[in-house]
Amino acid sequence: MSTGKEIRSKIKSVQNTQKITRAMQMVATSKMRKTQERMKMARPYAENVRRVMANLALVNPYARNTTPFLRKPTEIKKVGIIFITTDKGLCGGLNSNAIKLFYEQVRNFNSNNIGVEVCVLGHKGLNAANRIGMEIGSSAVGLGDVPHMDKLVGPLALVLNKFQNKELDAVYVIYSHFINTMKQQAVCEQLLPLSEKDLHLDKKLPWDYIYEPSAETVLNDLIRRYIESVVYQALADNMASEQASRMIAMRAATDNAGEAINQLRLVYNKSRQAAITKELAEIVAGSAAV
Amino acid sequence: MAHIMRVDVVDSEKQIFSGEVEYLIAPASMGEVGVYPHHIPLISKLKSGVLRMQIPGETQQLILAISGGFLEVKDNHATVLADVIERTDALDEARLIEQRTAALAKIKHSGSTMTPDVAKAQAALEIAIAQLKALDYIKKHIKH
Repeated sequence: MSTGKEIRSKIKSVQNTQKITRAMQMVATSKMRKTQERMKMARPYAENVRRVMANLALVNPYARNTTPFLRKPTEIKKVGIIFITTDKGLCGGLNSNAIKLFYEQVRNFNSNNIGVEVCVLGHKGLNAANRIGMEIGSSAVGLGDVPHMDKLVGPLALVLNKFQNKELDAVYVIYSHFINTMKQQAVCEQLLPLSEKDLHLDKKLPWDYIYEPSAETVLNDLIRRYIESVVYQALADNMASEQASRMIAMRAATDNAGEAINQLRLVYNKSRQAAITKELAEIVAGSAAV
Repeated sequence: MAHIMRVDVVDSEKQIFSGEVEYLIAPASMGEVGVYPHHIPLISKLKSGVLRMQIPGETQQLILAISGGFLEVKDNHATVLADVIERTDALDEARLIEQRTAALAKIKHSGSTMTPDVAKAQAALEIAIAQLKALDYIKKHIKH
């Protein structure tokens, strides 16, 4: 049985760990609120881009039929996956769930003889993609707690260019979707080619815009902006999930540490009492012998 | 006085302005366009430059630095979808010039190959140029 001093130092060390996890929990709670606000702030842009893009596609069928972003590929040979994970760990099963989904998708495509190229956002995903020797088209790590468009534009431009040049036939995005504080789910969504459902092409409008410089250029550029804003939203979503998941994980860790401390205290008190009993027994035995 | 129109100015990270204006002047890709109430439907690419708006009752125009994007006008409602937009009172000239030089050096250094870094530098360059243009405009027209 370990001595009292050993147990005491162990209790101390668990208490220190508990302090750290409690601090991380509180930091995650406050960051989560901010990331959720940011998700909301980016919404007007995404909505407006989508609306303008849909109007344009609606009134100008010529542009709609010539843009490479709306084409329907006859055969899918190679797809791009934009894989969003966090940079840091200690956020429960969030990344492992996303990575599991990612591996599953890659396996699926590979078994159908479809090549996969990945664009990774976040350290954990980069490690995961490297581990299975994926072809990494572009990546961005160290994204911080605030999603910034300028960090996304570079890697995304490569993916979009490849799609435009028909090197990629479809583009998917995988990220952790924030459902509520207790629940986050890894999801895989198709980004390109855009479906007519995304555009809400339902009615014909009787008027047309004036275009500057031309309908095709405007539509192509708009679609790029739209994709960028969708990925931006996904990243913001992923960041909210990260903080929520970390908050839950750290709360569980804090609770577990509390339990461990209670058990260690019990053992400590028992061993202390045992020592006292032993000493008493020795004294009594000693006096009886005299 | 019904000579006003609604304007929404958003960039990818936030909504900058939403309200009614008498007119707006935007840096379209083929030259500046002025949009007044009841303009016919228009979609235009914007290049980096200065976006100006006259808010009813204000003596000075509202000036925003914009680094490219789109302008859509329809049903007396203008929407500016900016790439990056900045209120001009938050700008610092020395820092901008520094950013411009750094971005230019990066682009020059890389030659013609397209990497994420170069794309990033190009984006940064456009933003810096737009904001410098806005500062220039303010200097010339307002702070005499």
